[in-house]
Amino acid sequence: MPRVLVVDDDELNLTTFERCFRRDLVVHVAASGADAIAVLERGPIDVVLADYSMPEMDGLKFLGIVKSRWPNTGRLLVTAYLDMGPLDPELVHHVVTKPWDREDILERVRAARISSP
Amino acid sequence: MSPPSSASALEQAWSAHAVERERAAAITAAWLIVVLVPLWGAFDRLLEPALFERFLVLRAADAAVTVAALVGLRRARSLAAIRRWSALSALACGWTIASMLPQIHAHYELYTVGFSLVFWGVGLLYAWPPSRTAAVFLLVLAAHVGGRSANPANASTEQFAGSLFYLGSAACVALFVSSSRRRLERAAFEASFEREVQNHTLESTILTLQRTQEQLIASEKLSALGRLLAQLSHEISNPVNVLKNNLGPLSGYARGMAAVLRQAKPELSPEARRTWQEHEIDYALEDCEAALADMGAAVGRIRTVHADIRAFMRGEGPTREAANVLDGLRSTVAMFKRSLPPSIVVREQYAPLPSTSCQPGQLNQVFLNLLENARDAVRERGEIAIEARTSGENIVVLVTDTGPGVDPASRPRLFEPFFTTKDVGKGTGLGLAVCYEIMQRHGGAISLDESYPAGARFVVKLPVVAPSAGAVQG
Repeated sequence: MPRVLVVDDDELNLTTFERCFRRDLVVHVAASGADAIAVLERGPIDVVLADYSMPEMDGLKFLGIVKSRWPNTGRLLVTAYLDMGPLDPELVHHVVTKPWDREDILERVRAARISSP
Repeated sequence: MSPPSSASALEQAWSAHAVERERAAAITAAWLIVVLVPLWGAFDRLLEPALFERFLVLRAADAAVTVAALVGLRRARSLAAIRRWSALSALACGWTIASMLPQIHAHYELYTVGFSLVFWGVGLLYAWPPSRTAAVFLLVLAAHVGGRSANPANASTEQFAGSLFYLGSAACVALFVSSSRRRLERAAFEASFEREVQNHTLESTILTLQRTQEQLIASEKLSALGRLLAQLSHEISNPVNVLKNNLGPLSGYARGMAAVLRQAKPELSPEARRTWQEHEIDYALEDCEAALADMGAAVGRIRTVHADIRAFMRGEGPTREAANVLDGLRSTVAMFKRSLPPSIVVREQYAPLPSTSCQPGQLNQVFLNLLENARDAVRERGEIAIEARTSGENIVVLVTDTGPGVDPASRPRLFEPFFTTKDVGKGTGLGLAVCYEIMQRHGGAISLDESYPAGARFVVKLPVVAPSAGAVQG
């Protein structure tokens, strides 16, 4: 099962994610970018899903760190904004809009896992 | 108002004013003559009883001419006609007395003074152009001189010279009075006309200001609502996400538990049966799925509103391209027509439009929203007309339907977010607000044609911002 790490400052989103995907994915959660980095340091993760708007470290900043330190990890950005503007496809493999769709997430995780070398 | 048109407007107003003024003056003068004739008759009988009957005929003839002039004055429409009739009555009066004077023996001076009333009357009542006044006076004086030449014996040369001197001076003074009256009247008229023009300009300026203010208030209200919506949209996305995505697992849990409970029911202990009854588990098993389905539907509705709000906030980006609005309009209408029953007729009329810098997808959304509103308005049967053309520097698209039209009370709020006349659950009230926002971003406008008599007509105005000016294509 793909190992994913979800980073979101809204705890309800984290528990929802775990509940939805407990049979399909190995779900790790973190409530902030710093916590998430600690999780990544503990063991390998296939794909990270980072919420865009978080206090202290936003999703893009976090994905930047992931890209430089764990370049083989797939990187998805989760956001409520429809207009994120042009994003660097090397940094963000895909943007998922909230509220997300279960099937869409599964597909994106699979794709991100394959596309990350 | 530019000066030349103001000057010609002034002349027009002045001549219209002059017709009424001169008619009133002439009618007053004519009535004066008619009223005074019997008095003068009494005067003749007292002073010149021998000449009374002859004079009465002359005075009666004068009165008759004056009455004819009165009728003519009432009917006259042009200034020239009024002046003809008033000159005629003045001349008749002057000629009458000029023809009487040479026959008088005893009271020559008194009649000369009476004669001078013609000049004073004209000078005080009429504001004719000086040349006309002078002409009338000269004619009257000529009659006086002519009368003297015909009857040289009655008055002495001194008397005649004195009367001529007196009447000539009266004519000069009256001429001066008449022409100054004319100048004063003209000056007063010009001043009041100017004041009227200024008032008019002021009024229209105030009206424009009021309208601009209303528009400003409306757009400020809308943009404040827009900011609120953006925040709201963002704030509710997490809770909506949680609600939506927990419903699936929750339904799964419920189904699993229900299956287990139904299987275990026959083997339950008496105590468990009591608990079962207490909590109405039979009912709960039946109702649980329905309650979850209701929640699912409700979340679905929230998501629709949320999606609408997001569509509303979308497109703030500056990505514009040169496109022909007609292409998008045609394909939007074609797509829309597929969703219509055959009882709704669609009429399309397109003039060639120039390319313009715009967000074509956004404009298509405007058209689609208007078309969908039109469809909702005509319900089962009716007609929807789409027209596109250029008007000055703008592209104009009209969407007209044969529905019941927009109720006047709803008109001021038509473009407010969340304002809807549709049934609950049928419309979020964001369609026209979205259109408004999009047109604002394009520097254009969308409005309801309030003068359109039947149904509703929406007017979309888009300024042509030509990347390649003059590139007109069908």
